[in-house]
Amino acid sequence: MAGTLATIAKLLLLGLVALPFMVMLTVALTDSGLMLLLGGASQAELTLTHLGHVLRDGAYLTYFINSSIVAGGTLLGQLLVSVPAGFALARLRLPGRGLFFAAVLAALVVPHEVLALPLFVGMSSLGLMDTLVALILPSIASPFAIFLFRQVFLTLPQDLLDAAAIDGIGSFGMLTRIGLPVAASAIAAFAVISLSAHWNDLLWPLIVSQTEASRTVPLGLINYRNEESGDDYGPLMAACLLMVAPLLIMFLALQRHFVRGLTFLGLK
Amino acid sequence: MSTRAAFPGLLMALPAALALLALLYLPFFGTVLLAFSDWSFTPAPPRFVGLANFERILAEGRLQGTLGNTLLFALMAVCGTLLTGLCAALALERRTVLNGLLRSVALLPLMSASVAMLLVWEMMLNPIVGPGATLFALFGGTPLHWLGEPRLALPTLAVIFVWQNFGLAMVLFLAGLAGTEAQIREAVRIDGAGWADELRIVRLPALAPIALFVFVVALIRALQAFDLVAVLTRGGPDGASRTLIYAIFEEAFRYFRADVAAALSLVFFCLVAAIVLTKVLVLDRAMRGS
Repeated sequence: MAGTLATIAKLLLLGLVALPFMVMLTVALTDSGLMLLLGGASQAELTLTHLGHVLRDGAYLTYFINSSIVAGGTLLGQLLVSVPAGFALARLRLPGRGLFFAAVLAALVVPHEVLALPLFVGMSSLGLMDTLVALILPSIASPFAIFLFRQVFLTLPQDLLDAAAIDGIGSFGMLTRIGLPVAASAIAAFAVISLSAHWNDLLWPLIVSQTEASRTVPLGLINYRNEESGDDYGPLMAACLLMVAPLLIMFLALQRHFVRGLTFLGLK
Repeated sequence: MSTRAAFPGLLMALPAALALLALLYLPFFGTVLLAFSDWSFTPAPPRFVGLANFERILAEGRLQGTLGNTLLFALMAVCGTLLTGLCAALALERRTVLNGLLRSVALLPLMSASVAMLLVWEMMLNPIVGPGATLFALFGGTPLHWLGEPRLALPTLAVIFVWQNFGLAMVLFLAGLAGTEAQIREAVRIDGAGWADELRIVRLPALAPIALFVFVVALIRALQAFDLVAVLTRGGPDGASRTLIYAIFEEAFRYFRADVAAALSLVFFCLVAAIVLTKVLVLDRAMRGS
């Protein structure tokens, strides 16, 4: 009974979950994949035409580079700002610690969508609209990251820090030589979550990007969908595949960290 | 600790404090200010108008309809996510090679690019060329316009939300299941309880606090589901899938009514804040108490 139920659930899971991926791959990598799925063709040949079509389009390369810079830049900024702050909160003498920590906790409650409008006004008055800087900057303030790294650094044994202090290691040395190695796996988990979130982000680029120059991959895909009306889904699915591929590779390589990162999401 | 200088701590905390102030607190108060003013991207400074914007969104009936859509979508999306996530966790609990593989597959939708996979869904649901259409034709039915029919749009979006998010629920449930004592389960089994009894007596009670927790996480994600609406329906057809988060975007950046958008944003913030505070007060206390 239990075995049968479980097997049925598993088969359903596999079929339903994987279906969109299989459809995407079929349409993107064959010449008449959609017709095959529709029953209008009995066979389809593997082809790289659609991928080639997308890659030869210079615009897509620009979107790819933009998205990489935005996702990477955001992560770097978040880490540079949040890791030291988490260390200071957890381990260093810090006047106003209570107030600062309360401000971090309160900020956790604010959904970033609520901030979009004033941030838009701010970015345009700074003349940053339609730039990658505007795409990166607002996400650098991450109360979630500060809170996360504070929790991580709280687990450091005090003896270790005391020993370091006796050896004459300063606060910055403690962070880089003792703190960072301990935080490495938390940083990796946070990185996977942050990279995929900003690679996928649609709302903020939709507001900030106005021309091709600052367009990210999600915006590029939507544009492509809107412009290329018709039933030829091959190139669009190939473009989708190219957007998903880096994330899937990262997921397969860092799956353990990803799962750990997901349990962080609950901290919020 | 007190003998050490405060300088390094302050220096390390300063960038974060400045970033929070400039990029989070300042814009937040900007939204609050705008919600009570009559400013819409004009050069003139904002003027205080009290509750006029809120009266406006109520009078236009926009808030009510939008809230209704939001709550209906959240209800379907969250219940679906909880149920499928729980089933997947129970089914894949034992650590076997196959289960490990299936766990990875369950996380693919969450991981893979949202917009790209939404476009795949759009193609599959296309009533003319989508594979979904053929399926209906096989059974002699007319293809349904999944995203273009007012009654169907919101449930369809909820199904796609469940597809995206059940892996997250599964991971959280699995973390919870790992906590149920193997010994207790063993004891119940020796007492002659079957799989269903064991599930009812031992594991579901243990899962209740986790379920509440997953509920809150899924609920907040459902309220924030912008991509789904923006890519697949743009609030349509005829406003049937116009959720609060999409309405905020639409008012601000399509109709350029900044004050109205700010008022809606404040409503959205209160909704999320109420959920988070309830979670902190009820759930975290219950967990600490147990």
